[in-house]
Amino acid sequence: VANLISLTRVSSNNSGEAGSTGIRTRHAYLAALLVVGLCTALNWVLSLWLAPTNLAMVYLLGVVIVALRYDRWPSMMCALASVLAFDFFFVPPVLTLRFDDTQYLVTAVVLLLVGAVVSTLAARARSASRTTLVAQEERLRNSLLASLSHDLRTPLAVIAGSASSLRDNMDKLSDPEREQMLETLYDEAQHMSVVVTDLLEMTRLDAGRVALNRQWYPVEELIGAALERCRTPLSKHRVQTRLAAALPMLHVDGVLIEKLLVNLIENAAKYTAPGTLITVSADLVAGRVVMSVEDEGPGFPPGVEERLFDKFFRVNPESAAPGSGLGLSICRTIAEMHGGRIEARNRPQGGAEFIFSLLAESQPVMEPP
Amino acid sequence: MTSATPLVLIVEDEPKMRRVLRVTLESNGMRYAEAATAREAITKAESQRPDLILADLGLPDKDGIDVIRRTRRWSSVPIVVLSARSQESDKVEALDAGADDYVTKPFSTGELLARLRVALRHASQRSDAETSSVFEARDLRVELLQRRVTVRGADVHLTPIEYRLLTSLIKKAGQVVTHAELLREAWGPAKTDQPHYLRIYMAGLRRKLEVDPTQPVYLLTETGVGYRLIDQ
Repeated sequence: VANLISLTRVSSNNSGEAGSTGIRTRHAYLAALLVVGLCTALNWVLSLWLAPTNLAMVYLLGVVIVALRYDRWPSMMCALASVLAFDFFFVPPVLTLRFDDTQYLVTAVVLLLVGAVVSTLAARARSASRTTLVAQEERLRNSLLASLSHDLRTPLAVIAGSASSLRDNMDKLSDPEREQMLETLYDEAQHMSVVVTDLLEMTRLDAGRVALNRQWYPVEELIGAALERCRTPLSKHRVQTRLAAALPMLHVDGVLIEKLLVNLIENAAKYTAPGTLITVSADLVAGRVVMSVEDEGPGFPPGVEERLFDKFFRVNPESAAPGSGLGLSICRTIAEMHGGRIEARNRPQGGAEFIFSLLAESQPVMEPP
Repeated sequence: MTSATPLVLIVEDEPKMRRVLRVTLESNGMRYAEAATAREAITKAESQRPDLILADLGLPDKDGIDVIRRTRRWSSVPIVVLSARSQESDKVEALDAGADDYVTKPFSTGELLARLRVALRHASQRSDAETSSVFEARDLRVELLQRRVTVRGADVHLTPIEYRLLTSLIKKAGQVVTHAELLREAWGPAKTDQPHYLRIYMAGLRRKLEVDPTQPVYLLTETGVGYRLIDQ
């Protein structure tokens, strides 16, 4: 899976860069020439009022702009073209490439130097930000690997252990012991399946290749489907729903929004005691449909509200509760893909609340059937 | 055809998965035949006349969807897909090609067996031509001849479209029915690209049948695929 993730990342980078390098370089030279042309046109007008030396400032500005955006060679070409255009059009004798006054030689050299210096500095700044990006990805990959080795190897070890113990000690184990081991085997396989599914889902969403399949959904159906999906994890909790009357339909990718709600509801079930109440509600507030999942659990330490949605962040990393550390970051990605907001808060009366909201859109026209 | 021990054709290229399925089927009173490729599946479906086909989609020679389409040309044998493809579009494609149900890997054997039994039961009802005139599941009762629907003992009045949707779901109770199929049955072919019509009418139906429409018991949503009416 780690390979898969780095592969998708690399391939998405490559398709962005390698394919268009040639085109981009050509664009850069064309843009540089265009800038010189524009500066010349502007100077043509300005030359009615200004002395030629001052016109060089306009070319300087053009060179700086090109150097900031593009690499050294387009900037140098821009500087050179500026020198030639300046000399040809504005330095007496006009419309020749000759210049009588040596002070214009200084102007030309300064233009070339500025082009070189600014483009070098800009390139350095660009590569520095790229390095930060690479470092960030590196950090993410490391936490991914750390999380993978913990979240996948632990259940794997338990599975291999129980299975080999069952195979080698079949006749020495009592019936209840055997049953317990089989139960563990199944649970841990299930847990691995959750981790792998979340990882694949996150990778798929991160790769940016998921096109939203937006259709109109009644809020009621989305919440109902999510609760149905969570029937097993919710079996020991009390569940209550509270929906405002006449909520507008949502124009969303139903599968992804259901996933978001399922993650929130499963989280609530996982981190709260059996028998406590989980409330799922939906309301229309100031033009937004606001859905929330509230629980009566311990809540989370104040100050981590934002970090809860980070990849692999877990309030208690050694928690026995199985999880991939990806559930909430998948929620945030889905919310952002829809232009929605998601946030977490501790309820004043205790427990956590996760709130997801979307702008209500104008409703589809229904012809009479 | 409906002998006490139904014959299931396992179409699966992974030998270990075939072993799991063999053991599961055999220990639950079913016989099996096996096919590791699409070609073999198509041949065995004709020569062995199984009571049910349990088909994987990722086969080495051809896509499992082809097996479904080929089989549907001449047979109404129930086909249950068992696939690692979990995208809703894959499910819809298989169901619209003629599969009766869809189970995703990894699966629990309990769930798989339940789906197989539902599919077998539907097939036997179809072949016995004794379509029951009364549908009952928990507190829901539909008398199909009288067009009478009661829930928790009280009469429920449905609009013609709601009733058509309900009977379409009853025909495949326990199995998922795709949006396209429901739209076709309730409105005809013109509205098959308007799934929100369906959602609005399903919401209406739920308000009439369910105690709490946000926690449905009868009409379950398979988001992105369709709806499933419970069968018991």
